[in-house]
Amino acid sequence: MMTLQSIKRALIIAAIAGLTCNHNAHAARYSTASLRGTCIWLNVAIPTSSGARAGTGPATILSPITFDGHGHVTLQYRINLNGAYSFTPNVAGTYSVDPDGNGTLNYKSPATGQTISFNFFIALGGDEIRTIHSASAGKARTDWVTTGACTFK
Amino acid sequence: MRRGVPAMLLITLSLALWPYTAGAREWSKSSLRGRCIWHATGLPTTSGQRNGKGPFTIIAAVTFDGKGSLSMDYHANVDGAYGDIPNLGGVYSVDPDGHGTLTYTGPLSGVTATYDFYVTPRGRELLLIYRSNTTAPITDRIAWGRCQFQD
Repeated sequence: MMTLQSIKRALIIAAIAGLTCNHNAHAARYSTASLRGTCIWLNVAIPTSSGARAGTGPATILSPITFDGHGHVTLQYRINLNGAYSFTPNVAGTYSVDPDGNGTLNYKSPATGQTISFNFFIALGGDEIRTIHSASAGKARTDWVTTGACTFK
Repeated sequence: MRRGVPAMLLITLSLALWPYTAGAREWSKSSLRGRCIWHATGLPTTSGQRNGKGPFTIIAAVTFDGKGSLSMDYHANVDGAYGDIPNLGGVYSVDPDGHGTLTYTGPLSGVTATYDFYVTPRGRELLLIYRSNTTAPITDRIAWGRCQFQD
């Protein structure tokens, strides 16, 4: 038979267990399946010093990105690259997501022909992805730094 | 009780499918009606730098009429020269997928500029990039911004 004190003790233990459980769930809640659907990506690229020496100028990208929940993306890619505008539909790419919401996005740019990578964090409880340029295939340094956000809201 | 089961099933299915049906929403000019606050930044391209172009910033309250016309309370600083126009007109279009264009003639430059935009999935804002002008095939600047609708 449970006494009042033992009931209180059980409730306290259950509450602590619940708090710990929530914390652990929060710390490990993201995966590729967390990204499913379409967000609108606005990305701004500014030439690095090496990029400027190579003659690259600034760029803006505006593209819906559709995540399939399994590591694949499709972009409807609109870019103004140093003054030259172009649109390429259905650009394929890949993505990954770590449990902490940090991830990578990779695709071959139809404007430059380079395979480029972005690092991102899922933000605003999944309503937005914040991106930076992390790598251009075959280059020790990227030609641009970029700042971007892809919004689901 | 048995009659309640199909109804419950329909509600459950509707809720499960809602994000996907919402994503498939079709947009049109009439989807844009009301006022958003636009904030844009422009930087010179390499050719723009050679032509002596500098950066610019814009803030504007943009009012869409739902039929393809817009008016702006427009404030800009173009390479250090500030100006404001209280009632600047323009036009816009919207494709079914949420892509659209916004076109107006800059009061300081006299150049007709077209911006590409996408309506965000829940329609709360437009994300824009500078697409073209009427003076050259290569724009002297790149520009970007967002226009957030007022509640």
